[in-house]
Amino acid sequence: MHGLKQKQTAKTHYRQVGEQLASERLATMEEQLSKFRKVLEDFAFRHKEDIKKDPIFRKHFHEMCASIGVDPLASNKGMWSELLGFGDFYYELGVQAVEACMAERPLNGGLMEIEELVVRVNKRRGHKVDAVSKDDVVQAIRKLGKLGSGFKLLNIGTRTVVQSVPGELNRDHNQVLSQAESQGGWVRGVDLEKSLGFTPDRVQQALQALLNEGQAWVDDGHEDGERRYWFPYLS
Amino acid sequence: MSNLVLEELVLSTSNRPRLLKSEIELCWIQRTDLEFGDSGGKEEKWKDGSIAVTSHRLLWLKPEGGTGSGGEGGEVSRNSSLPLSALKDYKGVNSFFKKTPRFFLKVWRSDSGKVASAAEAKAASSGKALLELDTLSLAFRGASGSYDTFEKNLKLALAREEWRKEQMTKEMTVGESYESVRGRGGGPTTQVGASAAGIGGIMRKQREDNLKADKSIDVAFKDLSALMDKAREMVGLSSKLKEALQENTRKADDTDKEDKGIEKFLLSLGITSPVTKSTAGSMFHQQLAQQLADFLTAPLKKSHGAIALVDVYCIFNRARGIELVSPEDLIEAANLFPRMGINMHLREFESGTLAIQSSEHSDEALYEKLQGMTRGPGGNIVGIGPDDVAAGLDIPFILAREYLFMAEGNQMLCRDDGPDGLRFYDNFFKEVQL
Repeated sequence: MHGLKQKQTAKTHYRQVGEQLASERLATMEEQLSKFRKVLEDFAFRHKEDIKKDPIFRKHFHEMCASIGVDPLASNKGMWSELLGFGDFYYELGVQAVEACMAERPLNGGLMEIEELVVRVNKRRGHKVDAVSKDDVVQAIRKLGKLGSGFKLLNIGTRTVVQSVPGELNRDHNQVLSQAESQGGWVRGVDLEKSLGFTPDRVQQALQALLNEGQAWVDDGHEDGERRYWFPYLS
Repeated sequence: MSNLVLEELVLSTSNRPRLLKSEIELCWIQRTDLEFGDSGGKEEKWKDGSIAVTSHRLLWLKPEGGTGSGGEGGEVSRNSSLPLSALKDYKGVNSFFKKTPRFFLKVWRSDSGKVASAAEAKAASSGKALLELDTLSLAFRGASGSYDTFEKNLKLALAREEWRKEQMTKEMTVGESYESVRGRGGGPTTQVGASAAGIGGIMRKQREDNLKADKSIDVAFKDLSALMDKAREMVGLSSKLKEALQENTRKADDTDKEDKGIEKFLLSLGITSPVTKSTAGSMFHQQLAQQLADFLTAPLKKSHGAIALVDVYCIFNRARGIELVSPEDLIEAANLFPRMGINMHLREFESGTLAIQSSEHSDEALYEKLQGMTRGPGGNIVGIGPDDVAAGLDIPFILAREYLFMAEGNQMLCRDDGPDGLRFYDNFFKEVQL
């Protein structure tokens, strides 16, 4: 009886030690990871050109960045200006801006306020480099203009919104139309927000595009005060 | 004596060499001849190909269009590769008085001519196996810097011995302890049946390991050359850290989900050997186009056959890591697709949007589909609108509308602006002969 109890106590003791061991290990690993991230960011930032010169080392460096989650393309404006002009800084920032937009697309359909984009881009760039300003991001988006007009800034009221999905590749309109069809040829903005889970911006953008294309007619005469969009060939 | 038989070099659908898993291209040199045998190229000669030094092999591409054959035998050259591990020795001759700089490679081969494997070559060079040595000569007839570029990169590849390291990675010392963390961390109670002294031992060992890993990070990141020396080790440590922590977060709740998403994004799309200006030289845009085409095959399928060029710029550059491609180079590469027989093309829409499309969406294929839609089941005439096209072809509405206008502009369809909105019909007039 006594032996059994002793065994029980010992078991509890072992478990506590084991848990302590595991949590201690986890803490050290997290510490090492953040240390690793810091030095890696530092190297990506200071030695970019040297790293590029040696393709084999470049591969190893890239692997480290990928594992640790360091953006190998984060540099400061000042570094480039001395050597190569601002070109590459804005091109890198362009990659980061597009990536931030792509990550959010499932949620916002490719529309994001510029201020929010700046916050997300800075988060991606890590802590080693200077934060970029709204002007920098705007400049980077302008530089992407060479790649077609699909990625652009829209002015909605007093706000500036980045549109990252060009109309030709946007399937929101298809969804709006099928919603209208199921209701007998018309739809209200609020219906779309509810049924499709779109943000108000996204709804307005889709409806406006369909108006511009001459697909929809506006009906403001309803007693609930909600504008209706009619699609004649669907009714 | 039979000739040296090089290994076959397999090409991708865009005709880019398929590389080994972690192989990196170091340089490409055009206008190079391969000469087999010791007799100064009289036995067999493959002419005017491109040669690459990679971290693992030499690659030879026969000239485009031609066979690159030469010599009396009239043998036809093949796209080939030679593992650097089979190289015993090399000698370069670049004298002021000789017109063509050459490299003479001594290659381990079997009796039948097959190039030796890494293990065979190792055994042979230490006298443990009997292999034959053959000579392969490279003659550089292209740009004046070819010889120096080749020599520099061959030396680099031979010094790094990347092929050998792959076999060694399992013998890692740093980060070794994380394996055991994962083994035990999951169920703390199950493994702790040892004596108290054992536990003390484990704890001590763990702290020592941590200290060791800490120290090795410090040493490796002291400066750039230190990091270059320790690069392999650090890659191992970084991936082990990540694995161990991922295991842990999988159990814990998913905070900071978004940041994990980035990592995944970066990882899943990696291009190991990005085509660069310094490795590809004058073949840069051509090779870039091939790499881009190979890379886009999967994403294009996922996105219904069209991706905005801006998105391509982002994902392609992310996959390339530190080697950023400028928008100008990207456009130039994409413009080469049709000429290179790649089944993708760059399309500019009315609105100015640029996108890469797969060639199933070429104009001709498109018109055919649209005309097919203007015929009902019984062959009767039907009017189609953008909504029908969007649904029928499973494409975005605005794109459907643009396609209809394009087809109208090319006299394939004609419009009827009636009470049902804008409808399009097959244009019979195009077949009327006047």
